[in-house]
Amino acid sequence: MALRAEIRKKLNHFTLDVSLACAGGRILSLVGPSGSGKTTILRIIAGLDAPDKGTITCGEESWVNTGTGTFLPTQKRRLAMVFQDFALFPHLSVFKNVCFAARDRSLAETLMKRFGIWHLKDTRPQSISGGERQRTAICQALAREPRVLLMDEPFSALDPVTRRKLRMAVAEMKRELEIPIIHVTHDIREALFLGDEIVPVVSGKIFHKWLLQFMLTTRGEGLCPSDLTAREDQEDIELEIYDMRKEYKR
Amino acid sequence: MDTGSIPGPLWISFKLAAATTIVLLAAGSFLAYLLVYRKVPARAVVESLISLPIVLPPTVLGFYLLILMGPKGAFGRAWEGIFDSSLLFTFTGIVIASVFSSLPFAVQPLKAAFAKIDRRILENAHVLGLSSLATFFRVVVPNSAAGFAAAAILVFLHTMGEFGVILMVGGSIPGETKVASIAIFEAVESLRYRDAWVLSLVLALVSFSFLLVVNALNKGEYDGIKS
Repeated sequence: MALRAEIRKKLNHFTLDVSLACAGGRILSLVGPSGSGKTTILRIIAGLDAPDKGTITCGEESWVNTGTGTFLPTQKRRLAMVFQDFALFPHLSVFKNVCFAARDRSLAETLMKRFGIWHLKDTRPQSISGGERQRTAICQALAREPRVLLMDEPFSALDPVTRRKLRMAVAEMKRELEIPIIHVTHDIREALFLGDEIVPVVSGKIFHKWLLQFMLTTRGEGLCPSDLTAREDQEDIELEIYDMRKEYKR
Repeated sequence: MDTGSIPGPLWISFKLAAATTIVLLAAGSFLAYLLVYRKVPARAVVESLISLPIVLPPTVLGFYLLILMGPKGAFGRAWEGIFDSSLLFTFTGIVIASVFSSLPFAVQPLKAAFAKIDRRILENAHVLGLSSLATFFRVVVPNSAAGFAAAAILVFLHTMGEFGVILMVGGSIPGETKVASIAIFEAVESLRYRDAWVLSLVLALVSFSFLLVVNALNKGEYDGIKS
């Protein structure tokens, strides 16, 4: 099942105008500087915001079509989202958080054991560490058995060691799930590590998508300066990507 | 001392306060929800109207309610049409009057409690499949427990001490609308100071105990997770 989105929305300083497609079992990483519209894209896919114009489909199901006036409410999209600050329910224990939208409580238990948080089942989220909250949020999302998983800067609040561990866990998890996963990050290394496809978003537009795809498919080999043919105002970002690529290779 | 003149008004006051509190926890949470989470046209006007009973002299509010609920008032006529009975000088009438009079004491703490809840946990509840109503009961209410408790206590206490509005709409009918505060006034007027002392002491002790609970709740308030 693939997720396809064509979104246009006027924001304060620019117009968001993107077209995305993510197949089941793959991760699409939206990468770009803060305030470039990445989170708005996720919110529109989740149904928390509406586009001015566009279409969103999940498999055969139409979620949004501004032409026909279709807007499937968030609750009916059967998706899950890992929020940047995890958005766990403070009045519930970790287990009840994970079970919040679970169809099968035994799945919640299995996920918690797999992510190493079963021992925290009776603890409230405000009493556990950032990494544990993050794992709780992932378990909560997966326990819903979603058709699409959205992840908004899921590792940004974590220390480097925890971040690395959890990136590995998500990468492993992706192989088993057959759903499209859209992942938002400003960390290019994270996008390079997790994304099957990387979509750079700057000021609401996708730009030189081909460049990062090229970097991935060639594993960094053969990237010549003539490929860096983006506009002059994107030069800094391209150089940053170039440096990151070298670091990533190391 | 006529002991019957003490428990009767106290019981009416207690019944009135309990009924008003129950009605206002429901109506107040609905209004607070709309004001915090929805776009309300002419919000400033609506919020000012809700807060008006705090600053308005109770006799003024009582006078308007007397007109509105009387046989010539729109509300009074509609009530008579449906139930074939008058609202004035009845227990139901003073409950309705008291609901209007105590409305801000329910709405303000609930609004403050709802506004404190991190919006993202509400969005997460929607993403996880909950309707707005289910989100209200499963997420908003449990995370606003202190707000609900404060609203209940403030409304209860304000109603226990209600005087002007009740006198205007309900008069002083023993066993029906004669509440403790009116009984104190009448006891003083007829020089029954002992009755006035007992009733005043009971009301003061009840109010003080409840305020202690409010202050304890405010101290240990629940903040939830905020980034």
